[in-house]
Amino acid sequence: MTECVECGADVTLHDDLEVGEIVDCTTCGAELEVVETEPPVLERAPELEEDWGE
Amino acid sequence: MTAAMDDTAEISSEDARELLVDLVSLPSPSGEESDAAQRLVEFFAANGREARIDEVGNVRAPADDSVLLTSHIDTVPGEIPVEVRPASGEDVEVGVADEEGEDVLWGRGSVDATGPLAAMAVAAARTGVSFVGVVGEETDSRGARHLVADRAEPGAVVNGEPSGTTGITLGYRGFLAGTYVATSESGHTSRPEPNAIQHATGWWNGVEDAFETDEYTPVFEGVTAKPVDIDGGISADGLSVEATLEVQLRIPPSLDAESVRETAEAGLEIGTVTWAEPIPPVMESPRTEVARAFRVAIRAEAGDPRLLRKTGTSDMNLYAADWDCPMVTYGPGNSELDHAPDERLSLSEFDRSVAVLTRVANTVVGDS
Repeated sequence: MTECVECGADVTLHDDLEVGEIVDCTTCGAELEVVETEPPVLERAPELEEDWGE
Repeated sequence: MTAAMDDTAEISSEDARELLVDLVSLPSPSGEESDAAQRLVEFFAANGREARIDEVGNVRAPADDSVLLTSHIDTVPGEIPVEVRPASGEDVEVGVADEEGEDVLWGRGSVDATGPLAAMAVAAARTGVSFVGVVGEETDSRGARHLVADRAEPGAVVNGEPSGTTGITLGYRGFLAGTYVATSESGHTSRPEPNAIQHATGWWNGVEDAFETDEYTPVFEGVTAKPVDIDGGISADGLSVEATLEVQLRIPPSLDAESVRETAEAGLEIGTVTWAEPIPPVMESPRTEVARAFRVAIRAEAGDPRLLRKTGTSDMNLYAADWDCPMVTYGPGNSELDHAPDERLSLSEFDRSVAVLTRVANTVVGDS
């Protein structure tokens, strides 16, 4: 378990967590990215940006 | 197909850059990709991989199909002298280079999409995964259309287009092209009845109004209606007025081509519209294994990952229409330089993109 970087609520993580995985904070709904697993470190997942062209 | 040990090759950064410079030096506008295709075949042969040019001109280098790396060989027309120049202050200012003095490759296709193409080829040869260079992306996507009709679905697809070394493109709008044609009897221009040209512009004004969005709606989530060519006037025999209008509509993932077509035709009273085969929109999840692998690789090699949805259309739309596997689009280069007269790519950015793609391919192969 670790804290949501957005609201501070506890986020329950599963055992086979992988770096780069996106998990949800069930309290505030934020999408969080796992940037380390030992111990787990979460960051706000990148938001979808708009870009032009191909 | 599973990669054999000898499907992987050691390729230096110098050799990778040489492939890039060679490919940019070989003009490859749509329909004239054969010289560049042959250079790719030679590159794979020199690295112990079988590669062939297929019926439509695509370069096919099958191997481990856990992930297919693919990009387009063709460029838009336009000659830009090929040379490596030291980055200027302006290059740094506009984000083409990190530092003044670093090597920047100028040339048509360096960004769209020979840079991504060369990076994919090098990463595929290093890791032993499948590679295809497709033809015709800038016109009718005949290479990608042939590929989905002729090839089994891979485990995942990484499509090559410029997104910078940190950008992961997950979505594109779809595409619908149409041709409006109207004819009216000729008459004195002092008469009040609208002629064919007025019918054409009247219809088009209605289409633009129908798809107008408020300022808060992201461009990606709306339909962009764009006239791209117009021709009209008195016919050769002098008896009628003719008008032809070529139009393009970009389709957001919330709509399909049929509903966009119905809306566009709702205000059509005079004239006819012929629609080309549509390309559906695509919006991939950021939670797939290949997207995860990209975030990890980008953090290790290039910086903070960005997730992108693009307002244009690419071959990924066609792959997503036929294949259910996860996919993303990635590649070095600033997409603002797509088709531009000052198209150029930092070679250190190219190196980083090769490193990212190599990590991704190794991760996906290892997990499959």
